[in-house]
Amino acid sequence: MDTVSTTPVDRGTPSGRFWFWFGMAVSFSGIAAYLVQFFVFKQLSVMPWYAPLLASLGVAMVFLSLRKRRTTPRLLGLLLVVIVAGFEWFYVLSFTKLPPYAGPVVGEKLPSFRATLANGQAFANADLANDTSTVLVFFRGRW
Amino acid sequence: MAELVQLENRVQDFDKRKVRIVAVTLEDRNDAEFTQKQLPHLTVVSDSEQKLTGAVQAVDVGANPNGGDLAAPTTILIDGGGTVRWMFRPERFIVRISPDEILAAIDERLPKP
Repeated sequence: MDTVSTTPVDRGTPSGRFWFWFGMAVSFSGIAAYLVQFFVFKQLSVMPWYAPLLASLGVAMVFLSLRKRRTTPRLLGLLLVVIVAGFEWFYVLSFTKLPPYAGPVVGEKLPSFRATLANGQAFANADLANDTSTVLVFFRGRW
Repeated sequence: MAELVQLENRVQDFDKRKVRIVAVTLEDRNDAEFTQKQLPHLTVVSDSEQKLTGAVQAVDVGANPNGGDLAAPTTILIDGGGTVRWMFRPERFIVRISPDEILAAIDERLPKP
């Protein structure tokens, strides 16, 4: 004789689901915010420290969700946000670091040089001492 | 190069102060010509032999993804006699100086035209 159980099957609770998705969103929000800073507000002079900080906060949230309930998707999510946070910290702390300035200081003249203008004409020290003040801007390139 | 576009858009403010903007790149002349067309009010210098960039220690060695060098973003204000009056280099290349900061340095360091 078949018996029918009246006890509901425990399918688990969505415990920690909010922290998982909120943590994922926070992790990537720093990158999104930086894109807005760069492309919308054209603000280049602000260091985006907020990006790795937000990513780290996201890691903590996803880790919290994993503590509440261990599932493979959450484990993979944690791995993903750890990689994102690690990359962002590496990017802002190490990859983008420039050598300290060691060129001519205030009151000095530039050492002798001879370069070429885009139109092919020569550009040398004399061109910087022709009674016109100049802002020399060294830039990384077109890309 | 976003900082150069900002400078191009503010070139009138530099003209008022009788200051020209010279943009220096380590790229070759073809690339410099292309940049010059995009930024017609700036003077673009191709310094592929690093004569000028090397003279002011602004080479970021090995920074190019292809293994070559790149210029470390550096801004130097030079008066009409060829003397350095102010310079700026950020600690990290994702930070660039704004036109307002350069104009403030000009107003502070150079005599009014």
